[in-house]
Amino acid sequence: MSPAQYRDFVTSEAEKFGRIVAQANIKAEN
Amino acid sequence: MLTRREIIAAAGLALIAGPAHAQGGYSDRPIRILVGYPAGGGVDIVARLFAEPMKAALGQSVIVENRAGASAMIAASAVAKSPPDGLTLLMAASGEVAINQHLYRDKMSYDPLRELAPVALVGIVPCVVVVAAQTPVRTAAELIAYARANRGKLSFSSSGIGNPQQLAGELMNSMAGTDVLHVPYRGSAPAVTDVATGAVTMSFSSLAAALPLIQDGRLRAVAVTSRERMPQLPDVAPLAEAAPELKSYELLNWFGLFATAATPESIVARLNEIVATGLRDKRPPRSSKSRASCRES
Repeated sequence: MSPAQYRDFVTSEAEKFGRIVAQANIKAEN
Repeated sequence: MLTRREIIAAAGLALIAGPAHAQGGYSDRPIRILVGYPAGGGVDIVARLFAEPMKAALGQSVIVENRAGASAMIAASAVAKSPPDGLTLLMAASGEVAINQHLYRDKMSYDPLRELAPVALVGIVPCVVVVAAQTPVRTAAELIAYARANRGKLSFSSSGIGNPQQLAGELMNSMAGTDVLHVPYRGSAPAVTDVATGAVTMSFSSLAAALPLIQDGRLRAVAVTSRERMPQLPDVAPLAEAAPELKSYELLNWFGLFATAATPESIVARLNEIVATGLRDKRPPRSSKSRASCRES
């Protein structure tokens, strides 16, 4: 996987994780 | 998926392949690989495995530095704020580069997508779903049927809030319409132990954490979170096969190497090549005894 492909992968994963966090209303520990 | 054994072998190959003195646009000053977790953990081990071939290939010192704490954001922030010269790198898990920004918006001192340059993906690690041996569930499909039949009555453990294991469970809830309550633990060992004792119904876990309890018969692996089966668990189906609604289900943990944003492309490309050399297809044959690299960060 090239750096560009890896960047796309990280971006895609971050978007996916963000959707799950929002949908499940996950809150960080304080 | 890259197993620990494969990483060790790959690192050895890279060591053999690599010649040289300060190459790829580098100065000859030492390279530091920062790790946001304590020494001895999965990410730390991977960083140390790649430090040697990197040293050999680039002809300069490579030091692994553990800066644990704040959900690995101390190390990630340090790399994000370093000069973009490739001398300060980050071996990261998905949390500090792709999850924390959704959890710690006000507390984060760096923007991982803007201030870090992805260099190379090093490993992808599915989770395994385990239940207690006495739970009347043997397959992924039975797990979903059981969860649907017991809405609001079941729970799943993970090694902490906001980690990929929790996200894997929440994604199952969202896609399958189940309502399994998340119970966070501090670490994977108590998270899986409490499944065996019956305190929680199931756990989304690394295989490494669950394997001893699977092997002694106290836990049963009933699903994996990757689209494909894990070589270590060939009889365990992906959650994606459990129900039509889960057809696109996949949640993976992963880890990889990052540099500071704006690091010269020649340096990023050279580092990517070194990692790729280590990971390339000259992997040892898998054996039934090989263990997964599933790890807690």
